Amino acid sequence: MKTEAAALERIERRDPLRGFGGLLGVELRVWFPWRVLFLIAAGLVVFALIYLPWRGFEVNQLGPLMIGFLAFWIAILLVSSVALTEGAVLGEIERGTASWLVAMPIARPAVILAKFAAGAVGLAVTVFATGGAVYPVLADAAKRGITEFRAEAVFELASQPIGQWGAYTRLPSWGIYIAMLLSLWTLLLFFAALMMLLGSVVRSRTAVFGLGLVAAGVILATGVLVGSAAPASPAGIARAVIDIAQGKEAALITPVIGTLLATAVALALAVWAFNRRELT
Amino acid sequence: MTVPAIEIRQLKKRYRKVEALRGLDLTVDQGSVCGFLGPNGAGKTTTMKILMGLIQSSSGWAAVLGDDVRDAGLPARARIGYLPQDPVFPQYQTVRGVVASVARLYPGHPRGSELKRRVDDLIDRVGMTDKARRRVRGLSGGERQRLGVAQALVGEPDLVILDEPSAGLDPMGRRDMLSLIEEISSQATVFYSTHILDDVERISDTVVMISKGRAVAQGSLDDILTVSGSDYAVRLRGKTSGIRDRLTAEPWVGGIDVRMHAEIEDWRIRLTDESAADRLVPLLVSDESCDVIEFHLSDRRLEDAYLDLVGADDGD
Repeated sequence: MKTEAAALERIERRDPLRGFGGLLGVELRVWFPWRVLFLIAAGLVVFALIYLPWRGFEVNQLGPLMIGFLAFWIAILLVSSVALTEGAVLGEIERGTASWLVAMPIARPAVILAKFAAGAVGLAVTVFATGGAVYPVLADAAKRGITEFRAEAVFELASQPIGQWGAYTRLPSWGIYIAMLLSLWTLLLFFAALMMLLGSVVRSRTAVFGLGLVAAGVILATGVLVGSAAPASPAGIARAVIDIAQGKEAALITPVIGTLLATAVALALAVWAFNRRELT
Repeated sequence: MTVPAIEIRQLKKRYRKVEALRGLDLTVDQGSVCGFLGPNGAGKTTTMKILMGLIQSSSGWAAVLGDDVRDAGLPARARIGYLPQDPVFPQYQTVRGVVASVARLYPGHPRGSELKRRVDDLIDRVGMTDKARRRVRGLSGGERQRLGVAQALVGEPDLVILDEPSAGLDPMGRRDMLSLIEEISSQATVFYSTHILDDVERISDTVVMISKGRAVAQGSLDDILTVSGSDYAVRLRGKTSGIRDRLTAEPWVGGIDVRMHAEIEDWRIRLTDESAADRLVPLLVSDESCDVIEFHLSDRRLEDAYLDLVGADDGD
């Protein structure tokens, strides 16, 4: 047997990414194709359920369609992210696969980072495939809204600044739309990191799932429903996306930077906690 | 001087209120096949998990292949193959997929056709060639165990740690597993835990017995059998109650097992002090109410030693 000395010398004692590539391949198979297809299908079904009744409206306006879709889509993505990642770390520990993995020449940080990276890729494909499929329909809907006349709108126009209400929502340009999707993806990255952290620290999957749902609820409540979220927080992204859907001007940079920082902190804490975790 | 494959000094591990290891000392020399014996809850799996870096000791020191386990890092783990007690693998992967993906995690692993050859060779060695395309979720417990051994060997380790490798196997599977361990031992040090004493007698050259988190005996099989005392087989005829009482009262008699066949009794007398054997025969023949028909040193089995050593510790 005897592993070659030269090969062993190539392994750094504390290489934090040792085994990352191999694990990423395994983790990507967890996401592709079924998880990602399920998430894309869920988003498209939600859109269809809102779009089909919307077509029967007497006066077609883009605002209700965009706001309705984005609010429900964000909710579904957040809850699905929680449901699909609650067992990513703790499930592996409970099943014993985590022990099996770290008994091999794999760095513990690589386990967490590979799971996060696979989730990031899966969620990116989900967000951009669903968002990309929906955009042409939104563009078509925008044309309908503009071409149809609504008498009340004239009075409303007189009293309100243009772009304040959903009734006057204009279709975001491709650039803004992509920025919205990127922001939404950033929000999901934060959730993936948060679930990794919870899985590394908490010892009950029910508790991990429950805490994840609470976090999703807080973001939906403060970002989508009430709109009171701090701009530099993950909920600030949800708020900014809904603002844009309402035709308001919203800065995405601040919430995205804040969320990326929060994601990095959550991920670093997850790695630290998993490094110290006893795999009994 | 060759460093031991495993060296443990005063290792302690406490899980909240439970003291799993209470100052364990053991040494496993390179090239040996060491059976790690002990009752349930004695600390075998805890010891192996500490050696693999899965859990941390509360105090004490442990080293594998000369590296302190707290600081061994990835190079040391690349030289160790490990089979956990209940091996679990990704359910969707095939047998070949598991072995190949594990192989790719080791440094200097072969690629392409050479990788395929090594994987197929290992699958063949564990007798799973006909199941190579089967998914893990469709495997029986014994098949998962054999897959576990294959993945433990795929990195061509210098030390193989197997936690109850023959647990859950049928007699044929157990026989194959023992043959496999014997085969591995020609290339690597093997440290394995088990409850099956016959297996240890068949394939181990050294034994460590553990009870309540401490080693109660370790050494070669012969050493263990000697240290734990000697057994003498005696066949008697007549009234034996008197001599039995006198023997039981002697401090150097560890116990007497009696089997009765009509007018004949077969005794197995365990001596705790080998030097007392000289006093045994005169004592036996001094009793005129019975005749000694046969007397000889009995073949002592590991089971006897185990029951003496671990049983005595249980009685503490």
